[in-house]
Order: sequence, then C-alpha cells, then structure tokens
Amino acid sequence: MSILDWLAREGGMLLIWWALVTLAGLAALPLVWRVLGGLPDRGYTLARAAGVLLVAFIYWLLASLGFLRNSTDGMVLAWVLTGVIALGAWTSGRRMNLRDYWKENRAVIISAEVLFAVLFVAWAVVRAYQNGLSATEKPMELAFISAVMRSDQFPPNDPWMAGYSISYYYFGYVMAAMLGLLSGAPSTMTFNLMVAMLFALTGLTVFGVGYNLVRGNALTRLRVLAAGAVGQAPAFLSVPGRRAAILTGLLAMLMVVILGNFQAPLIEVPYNYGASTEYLQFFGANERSEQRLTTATGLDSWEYWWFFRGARVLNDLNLDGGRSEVIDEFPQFSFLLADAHPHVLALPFAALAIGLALHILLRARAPNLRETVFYAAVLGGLVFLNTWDGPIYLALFVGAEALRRLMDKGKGRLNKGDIGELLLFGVLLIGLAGVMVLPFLISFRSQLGGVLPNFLHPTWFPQFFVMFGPLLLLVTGFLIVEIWRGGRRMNWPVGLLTAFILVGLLVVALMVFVILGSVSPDLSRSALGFVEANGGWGAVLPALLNKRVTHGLTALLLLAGIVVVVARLFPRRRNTDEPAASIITFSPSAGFALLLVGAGIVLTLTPEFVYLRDNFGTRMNTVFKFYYQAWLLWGVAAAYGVYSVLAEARAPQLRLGWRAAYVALLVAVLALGLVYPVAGVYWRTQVETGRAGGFNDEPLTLDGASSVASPDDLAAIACLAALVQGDDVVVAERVGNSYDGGNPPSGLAGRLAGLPNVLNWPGHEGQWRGPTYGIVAGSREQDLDTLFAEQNWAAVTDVINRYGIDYIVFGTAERDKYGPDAELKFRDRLPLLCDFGGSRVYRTTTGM
Amino acid sequence: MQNVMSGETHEAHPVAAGWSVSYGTLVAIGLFALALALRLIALDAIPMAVRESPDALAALRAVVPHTPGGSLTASSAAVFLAQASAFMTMGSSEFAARFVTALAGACLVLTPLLFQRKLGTSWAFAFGLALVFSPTLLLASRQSAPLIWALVLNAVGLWALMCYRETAHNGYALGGVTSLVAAALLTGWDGLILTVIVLIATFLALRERPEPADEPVEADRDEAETHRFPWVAAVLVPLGVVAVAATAFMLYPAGLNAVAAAVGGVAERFSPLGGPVLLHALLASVFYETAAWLLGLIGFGVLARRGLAGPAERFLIVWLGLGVLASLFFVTGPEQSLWVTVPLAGLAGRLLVELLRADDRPGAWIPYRARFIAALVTGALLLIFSLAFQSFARALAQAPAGQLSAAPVDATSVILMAVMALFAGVIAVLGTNLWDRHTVWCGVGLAFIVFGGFASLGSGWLASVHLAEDPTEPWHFTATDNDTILLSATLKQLADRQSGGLPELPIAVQGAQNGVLAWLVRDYRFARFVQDAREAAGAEVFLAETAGQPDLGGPFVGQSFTLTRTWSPRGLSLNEVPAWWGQHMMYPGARAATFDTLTQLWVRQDIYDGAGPGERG
Repeated sequence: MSILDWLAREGGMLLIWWALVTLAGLAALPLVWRVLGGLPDRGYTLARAAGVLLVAFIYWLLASLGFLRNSTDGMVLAWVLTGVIALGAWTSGRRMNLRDYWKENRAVIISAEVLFAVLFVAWAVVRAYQNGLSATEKPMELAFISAVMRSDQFPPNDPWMAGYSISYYYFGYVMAAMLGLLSGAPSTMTFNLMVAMLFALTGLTVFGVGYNLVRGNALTRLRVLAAGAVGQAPAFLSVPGRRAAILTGLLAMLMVVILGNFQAPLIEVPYNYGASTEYLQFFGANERSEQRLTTATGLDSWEYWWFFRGARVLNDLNLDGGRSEVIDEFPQFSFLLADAHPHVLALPFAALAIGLALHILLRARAPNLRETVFYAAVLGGLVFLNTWDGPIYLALFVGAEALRRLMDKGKGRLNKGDIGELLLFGVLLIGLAGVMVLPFLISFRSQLGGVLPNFLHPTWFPQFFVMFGPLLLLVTGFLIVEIWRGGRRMNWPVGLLTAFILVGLLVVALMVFVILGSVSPDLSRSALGFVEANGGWGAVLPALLNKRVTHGLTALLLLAGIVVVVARLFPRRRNTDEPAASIITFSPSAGFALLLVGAGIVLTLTPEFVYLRDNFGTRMNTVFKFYYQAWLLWGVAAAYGVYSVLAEARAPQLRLGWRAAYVALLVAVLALGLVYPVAGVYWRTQVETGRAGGFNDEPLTLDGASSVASPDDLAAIACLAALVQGDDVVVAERVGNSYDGGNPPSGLAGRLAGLPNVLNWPGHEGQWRGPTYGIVAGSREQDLDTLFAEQNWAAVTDVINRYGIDYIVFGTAERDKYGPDAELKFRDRLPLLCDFGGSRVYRTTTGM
Repeated sequence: MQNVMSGETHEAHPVAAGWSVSYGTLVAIGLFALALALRLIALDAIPMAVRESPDALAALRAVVPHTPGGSLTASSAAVFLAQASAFMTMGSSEFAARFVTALAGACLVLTPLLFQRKLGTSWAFAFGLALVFSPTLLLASRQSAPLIWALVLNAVGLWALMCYRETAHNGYALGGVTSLVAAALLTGWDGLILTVIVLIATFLALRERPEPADEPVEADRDEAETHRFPWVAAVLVPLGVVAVAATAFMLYPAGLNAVAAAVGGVAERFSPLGGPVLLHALLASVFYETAAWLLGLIGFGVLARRGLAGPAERFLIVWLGLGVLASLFFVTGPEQSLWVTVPLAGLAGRLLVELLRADDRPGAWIPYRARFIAALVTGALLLIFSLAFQSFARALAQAPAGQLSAAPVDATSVILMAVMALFAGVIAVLGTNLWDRHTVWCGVGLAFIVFGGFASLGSGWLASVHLAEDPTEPWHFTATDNDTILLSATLKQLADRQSGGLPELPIAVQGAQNGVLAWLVRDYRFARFVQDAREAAGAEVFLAETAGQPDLGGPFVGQSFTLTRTWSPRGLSLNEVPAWWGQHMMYPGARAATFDTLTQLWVRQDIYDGAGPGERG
C-alpha cells in the first residue's frame, strides 16, 4: 500500500525522468545508428547512455564557451541540437530500412525498454525507502549537484570554497543537475533519482554489450560468407539465436550491477553465525578477525552498516601491524550506498565505451573519421566524468582495434605498420578527446603527482578471491575452456614471454624507484625514515621479501591469466605454409571477451607493484579505481564466458558432464553473489530505517532533505535560497570536517542550495586542489573562527569585508562549536532575514 | 501597325523606353507610407511597456556596458539585434528601442505583394490594405513584438520556396529554408509556434490541392524536387546563419541564450487554458479585430459555398484554425493574437476582392456603381446606428451590478437604433427590387469593410497612443503609467542640479533588474540595485518598492509614483462589455479594481535642498 501511495505522489517524477532519458536516447539514436552500424542492434541499447552523454556534453560545451547560460532553455536547445546533428549524420549516409530493422531487432528493443523501466523503478523504490543523503561523501555530492543547479554559468561555483569554481570532474553532476532542473526536482530528490537512473542506465548498457557480444557472431559469419573470403565460414563462427543473446545480456547486467562479492557469504554470514576465529583470520578482513561474542538472530541483529565491509575486503597491513585502508568497491555496493561519486556517475558511460570497443572489432574495417570523432567524444566524456577512466578505455579502444587487425584475414599477428597505425589511432583519440573537454582540462587541478612503487602491500589471495570471487570463478572456467579449444594453437611461448616482459617492466619500475629514491633527498629521507621506524634494513628487507612470497599468489595467478589470454589471442602457426585464415580459431566475440579479461588482469595486477601518487600516499585510490573498472570488464567477460562454455554453437563443446559442472558452478556463484544484494537491500531499506521493527512509518519519498539537517536548519536554508537570486553571494557557516565527522552537518547553504560557503570540508578541498590548496584557502578556516567566536565587532567586520560575506548562517552546527552566545553580536547589529527555531540567517551590510 | 478591323496600316513608331512608375507601385508606396506613419508617429511619447523593458534592457546592457544591472537574456534574437543596432546608432531612447521593429511592421504590410502571382494583384493589394488597418499589427509593431519579425521572415521564406518551386534555383531553396529557420529560432517562442503553424498550413493546403484533369500528375515532379533539394546545405546554412545572427557575428556569444529561450519557452508556456488572463491572445484578437473576424469568416464561407476556395484560401483558413488551437494550448499574451491576424486580414481582403468583382454572370445588367450606392447608404445607416449604440452602451455600463433595468438608457438612442434597423430593412428590400440581392449584399459588405477598417484602425490607435497607460485595454492589462514620465523628468532634474546635467546621480534602486524602473534608470551609470532598503542607507537618492519611510540613516524627502497599473477583466459584468468593447470605456466603479505598482522616490534632504557637491552630508 505504501509503495502505491508513494507512486501516486512521486510517480510523475519517475515518469518525467524516464521520459527525459528516453528522449535523450531518441535524440541521439539516428547518430548511433549511423556510427554504430557494425553492432547487431546498431547501437539501440547503447543509445540512451550515448544520448545523455551527448546532450549534456553539447550543453556543457556551449555554456562553458559563453554561448549559453545554465538554464533549462539552454538544455532544451542542446537537446534540439543533438537531434539535429544526429539527423544530419543519419541522412548523410545510406538509408536504413526501418521496417526491416524493427523486424530484426524487435525482441531486443522490447527487452531493453522493459529492462530499463524495471531497473529504474526498482531502484527508485529502494531509494524511496532509504533516501538518506548524509554519511560518507554524499554531502559533497549533494553540494555539487546543488551548485551546478544554482550556478549561472560554467564552470560552476565551488559550493564550499566561495570565489572559486569546482576543481573536480563535475560532468556527472552537470548531467544530474540538468535532469533535475528540467524535471523541477530539488537537489535532494535529484540525487536519489540520479542514483536510480544510473542503476538502470548501467544495467541497460551492459545488457546491450552482452547482447551484441553474443549476437555479433552471427553478423561476422554472415559478413564472412558474403565476402566470400573463404570457401566456407570457419566452424567456430556460430549463429546464436536472439534468445541466447538476450539471456547473456541479462546475465551481464546481473553480474555487473546486481551481484555482490563474496564478502557477505564468506565473511559476514560466518562471522554472524559462529565461524571460528581461525576461519576469520584466514581471510584477515578488517574488524572481522575475531569471533563475534553472540550469534546473530537475524539480519536485524547484524552489525550496523555491515554492508560497508563489502568495499573493505582488502586489508593492507603495514610492517608495524598498522592498517592501511584500501577501498575495493563494486557497483552493487555503490548503488546500495547510493554513492553519486564520479566513478559511479561514469559507470554507464564506461559500459558504453566497452560497447564502442566491441563495435571497433565487429566493424571489420578501420574506423572512419565520423566514428573516430564519436569515440573521442565518449572518451572525452569519460575523462570529464572520472578522469581515471580515460586512459583505461583509451587502451581498450586501441586494444580492440589491435584485435581487429589481428583477426583481419586471420593474420594472427601485428606487423610494424599495424603498431604504427595503432599508435596513431590512440594519439588521434586522445587528441580529439582533449580538445573537446579543453574548457574542463584548463581549469582542472589534479591531486595526482606521479607513480610510486608498492613494496609493502601485495594482495593476500583469499582477500582477492573474496573481492572478485564470483567473476573469477566464471572467467577462470571460460579461460580453461579456451585453453582446451585452443589446443595446439595455444602460443605458450608468446604468452610466457609477455608475462615475463610485464613482470620485468614492473620490476624495472620498482628498481627505478629505488634508484630515484636513493638520489632524491626527499624520497631517500622518507624511505630511510621508514626503515628506521621498522627496525632497520635487517628487519625490513626480509619482511618485504616474505610478504612477496606469502602474498605472491595473487600476482602469480593474474600473470597466469595473462599468459593464457595472450597465448590464445596470438595463435601458433604449425608451419609457414599454413593459410593465414585458419590460424585464428576463436570468434571475434570470444576474442573480445579475452581482451576484457586481459584488461581486467592488467588493472588488478598493476597495484600489486605500483600505484598512483595522491594525497593519501597509499595505493587505496589506485586499487579503488582500477578494481572498479575490472569488475565491469570481468562482469561482461564472465557473462560471455558462460554463454561460450554452455551454448556457443559450432564451437568445440565440452562434454555434457563438464557443462553440467559449469552450470552448477554458475548456480553456486549466483546464489552466493546474490546474498550481498538481497541482504543488503533488505537491511538498508527495512532494518536501518527502522521499518522492520515498526519504529518508522514515515511515508516513502525520494526527497532526502530530512536526512541532511534538522527541520529548523532546513527551513532557514530554504528561506535563504528563496531570497537569493543566482549564486553571486558568499555565505559564512562553520567549517565542518570531512564526512561531517564529529560535527553536525555544516556548509548547508552550499550543500542544499548551491550558495557558496566561505569554506567547508577542508580535507576534501585539499584533495581536489592539490598543492594550490594552501594558496586558495589561505586563512579561511581561522578567519571563520574569528567571525563566529570573536566578540570584537571590528575584527568580525574585517572578516566580513575580506571575503565579501553577504549572509551569515547561525544554526545547529554553529551553536555546537561556538555556543549560543556567539550569535548575540549578529543579533544586535545585523538585519535578521530568516528565523526558524534555533536557526537564523543574517544579512551583512557589505558594500553599503 | 495594322488596324485589323479596317485593314488600314499605320507606320510603326517605337515606344520610347522611359522611366515609369506603375499604379501598383504607387499604391504600394502609399500603403507603406501610411503604415510607416502610423507606426512612427508619437513612438517616443509612450512609456516603455512592461513587456518591452526586459528585451530593451537586454540589448542596451549588451552594447552599453555601464548600464546598471546584470546582463539579461532577450526573448528574441531578432529583436535583440534590431534594438542593439538601434541603440548603437540612435541612443537609448524608447524610439530607438522600437524603431526597427516598427519599420519591419511597415514592411510586413507589403509582403502580400510578394505573392501577387499566386493571389492576383487585387487580392494582394487588398490583403496589404487590410494589414495596414489591422490594430493588433499596429500595436505589436509599435511595441517591438518579436512576432512581427516572425511574420516577415515567414513571408519571405514562403516566397523564396515558391520561387524555388518555379525556378528550381538552389539559392531560393537555401534562402527560403534559412528564412523559415530564422523565423523559428530567432523570433522567440511564439515565432517558433507561428512557423510550425505556417508550415503545417502550407503542407495541408498544397496536399489538398485538386489536380486538374488536363494537367499531368505532379507526384513525380514532387519526388524529383525532393531529390534535387539541397538537404545538407539546407540544414547547415540556416543553422550557421542562426548562430551568427544570434551571437551578432560571435561578438556576443551569450546571444545564443535567446535561441535557447525560444526553444525552451515553448515547453514552458505549454499549459492548456492556462495563464493569468484566460485566452488572452484570442480575447485581444476578438476585441480589436472584430471586423476582421466577421469579415474573414463570412468571406471564407461565401467562397467555400461558391467553390472559389483555392489553395491560398485553404492555407489561410488552416492557419487561422491552427492559430486558434495554439491559443488554447499555450499561455498567451496579447502579442500572440498575431497568430491569427494575418490570415484574418487575408480572408477579409479576399472578401473585399470578391465584393468588388464585376458581375460577369450571363445576362447581368446591373451597373457596377450600384453596389457603391448601396454601400454609401449602408455606411450612413451604420454611422448613425453606431452613434446611437454607443450611447446605449454607455447607459448599460452605468447600470448597477445585477440591475440591468436600472440602466439610465436614453430612449432616443433606442428609438434611433430601431429606426435605423427598420430603415436598413426597407432599403434592403428596395435595393433588392431595384437591382438584385447580390448587389445589395456587395454594397452592405463594402460598407462594413470600410466601417470596420476605420473602426479597427481607430481602436488600434487609441490603444497604442491615447490609452497606452490604460490597464482596461486588453492589449495592456498591465500598463505603464504616465507617472513614469514624471519620474524620469524628476530624476533628470535632480541630475541636472547635482551632476551638471550628466546622468551621474548615484541612485539606489529596489526593484527588478529587468523592469520598467530599471529602464528608467538605464542612463545613470552609478545606479545600483538593492534587495533590501537597509542596503540603501546613506544613498543620495533611493527608489523604494515598499510603502512607508525606510530607515535610511537620515532625513529624506519622499514622493510616490505609480509605475504600472494592472486590471483584470474577471470582475467585468456583461452590461459593461458593449461600452468597453465598442468605445474602450470603463466607468470608475469597474476601473477601481486596479492593482497599482508604486515606487517611492526618496531624496536625501541636502540633495533635495540643492546642496552642492562640497556641501552634501
């Protein structure tokens, strides 16, 4: 009944968001049909993601260049322009017979539409139950959305550093704000709608990739037959039915967005239901190494926020026993947490990039200019969404083109010309992408500052298995079958050589760092200090070596995977007289799946040896970002692997017994993998909210405003937001700690209304601005303390004038830090604009 | 030359090729001159309307950087360009703001002449004449309505496409499409709607055309034309032109926001039967263009009955229908009455042509002049009738609400109306017997057209000049009061005293940055906008939007000025409608329901006393 009631109240908003995203897809569809014509569905399932990206990109670009203001009118114009460009692209080429297209793709179109709607509504229901916008980094994400919605121009003002623009990849927030403004939803509702939309869009796009991956075999076979390049199409090219393709797509969707890792079934459940200490210590998970004192009686007696441990599986221990935090998120965790961070915002578009890479392969010719520009646009969008993704998917594009050349006429090899053209392709892509997002790159300050070696923290394999278990098992099965299919064509020498070179490169990198460290005074001081603190070289070196040995299984297995992938992709010639066409014994789709596996391996192997230097100084962020993409790549590969092992017709098939075993493995993997999402969703929506115990009968809503601050604070900020036009103001509030740690929510004007605060969350501002933070922030934190704590009005006025403060908020957070008496001076001298219970907003008299 | 009848021959003399002006040209010049005069006279005397000031300020702030206030988005790129170029050359007056669009409005009356080949010379000129007399066109032209530009561009676009169809010259195709795209994107949201209406009407009218039996089927020709049409260029060139025009050759990139506002405005204003005044556009159209409605619809009915409704007539009626439909589905103001003005004028002109057509039926013997005699008589009767009706209407309007019987109706006027009606009947019978019914109806029709034309023109002139500040006029239910002229003069006087005649007076203004008040202070570069009266503390001059003396930290002298007055017809009773509609008259009781927006001018005491720069406190 309550869901129906909620639908009656907010169903209209769901419909509007569904319509907006669908319209974006329709606007881009003619262009997608033109540039992704190599895919079996001509990109229909990827059109929504492409449309949202293109519309938002065109809008952002025109606004950044000063042609448009940040307004709904401009968004509509961008929509129209996208449609015009798409139509122009479509009409400039050979016409498509729409009737034939519908007949051919009816099943996938209907499936896609139903899937998107179901996923969107389903996750919207979850968010309606659990609409909280506090905790972790949600306040910051909400602030960005509010700032973009409020800002008159781009780049948008930083809501927590008045006078400066956002120094972060904010494209995802532009998308959210665009949809929010067009639908009329406040930022506190936009946030939750965006999470639901991302869930659905990712699921749909991944479904499309899975579908096209399987169905691509049919096209390739038809193309080969039509070309007459060989007398008969190779036996391995199957003609899968649409049903198999759709099922594989659904499986890919399940693997990527719904399935959880093995933390819940292998650690959380045993922990709560009496597992031994030895068992728990084997996995060495943080805060789960000791047996629980009492056995849980049900899900509602599990520890508070147990699901968070799913993203803290890896547990890097320092030599002194201390812990170095590592984040290992996966998509279902992100959606359960409702994290609208850039890596999540970029997820559907990362999946889109995989689809584009598949198109590069299936197109069976070099990308033309129009396609290259399109790929570059998506790549640029990814750079802008989540910069870490840029190089990863650039490599995937180049890898797919390399695979296409490898398979071209069954060569099985890449020559010098191929290498040169691949490099050129990569340079062209990155160059075009860079030009497209230049307005962002110019103003962006990254915290990244180079590469560092990872001596201390190779991953403990049980933890790696817990993290990637569901996908690892299925992918491993696929690899084993591919080894069997490859047979004597497996080029083990090349594979081993590649692995050796890879390890060699990584070891050389480590050596280089050692040398650099000895030469650079700062690095050597730091390194020597570390050695001293841990007992000298005599203790440190053996400990490091011991770690590499005891924790080396992960790297070893990953390297083995590389060997298999390379050996399979570069088949061995039996003799020089062999016709080139018979060398390749895998289908393009299988090759692509292997490419995805290989890419995932490289992403997970890299942090075993090196990591990117940032504010944290550890490999936390590198593992975080790389593992996240690895989950996506392996999720798609695993789904194809299942299809390939069980159903790929005309490929060498395992005996029934082995296939049955694989099915059993699949069932086990799915069963275990679904523990996390099922338990997690129930716990978040029912237990955490108090609904399960009957403590909470609040109506469902997507508007999470009530979770952000007290009613008085909310009302005061709403009053201020209504009074102020635009965002050319400065609001003073108390400076709060990152994650609102230890203080009531602060920076509410920026968080809820997008009105710039003088400063908030200095820790995060420091991350975003890197070395320029000190210059930018100056003495803001201290000055704000003066503003609130100081009784000398001259000193207070000095701060007001220095920052041009227009409004001062005195609410829960300010009272908490400075006490109620701190407000008296404002009450005596400044006009009171908004007064709600204990929360007030004062107008300063700046500039009078 | 041979005289064919007599067989005589004469020596042929070549005709000297001299410069000559045709009667048509003279008539066209006359129409244009009349239209221009009507649009330019007293253009500067009328204060800036509430609807006009945002666009004017948007253009002014773009070209004159020190104009106080933030930058604004114009509702129409075409009006923005027109006003910006005028401000650059003619200064920042009301005249400059309105001049170019008024000129465009005058040019609009000549656009039917572009279609002479299709409409015929008579109809084209009659059409133009009807447009000259149209009150809504007059009002819109004098108030910088973007739809004027939309109408001009649509006309040019259709003409160009018509030429393309005849000549297959790609230049016409590109020009036509460019003009239509410009009409859609550069003239505001209502221009976009209008363009869609015109295109649909064109499509339906051409599609419905009967295929004469002795002409080849044109389907093949259409298909060939479609293939030949330069589609790619027709997409790229117009978009480029729109981008260049909207951004003033990239000198003002933010000008693209006007295009965005046009596109977004369609969605924003979509609200069936919505808006502060219900069906405002239709109300304004019926109020001012009553004659055009009657004549246009009757005309189309007559033509349809006689089987004379060709593609052009169908085009106009479909346009009219779609315009009415659009008025139902969008939140409209009075300018959107232009959606239906042109087809009404066209149909009225068509009726005029038909009424003037000589009777070529076999056996017709009635002299042509007979209809003019009938028209004269009818006209005289109409004049007397209308005078009596006006008196009657005034009396009705004075009746207390719900007490119609208490209206102080003058018996004379009622008797006069009855007598005139009787006379009209008798004379109609006489005329029918003397000549025939057709002649009598032609005469009656002609009289109504002339009467209606002049009444409409008078109505339009009243509304645009003499009653420009009257909020009971449907064209401006929210009207700028003439007090603003006084306010402007007062500020100028202060500035003359304080800053030697230069507009250097520092003024604090509490009000919208795109409103009438913002327009009034446009020349004062030290004017600043404040949200709260307390921000104006210490200012020399303060324009406050709230009543009561604010605490400005010293003695101030104040005076109230009315900025705008708003009136709603919701409280209007039925007995007041005839006087309101016929004579634009409203008695004080009904007029009392006016909501006024005031501004309080506060002048610091020392400034008021005329203290010099060194003496001010």
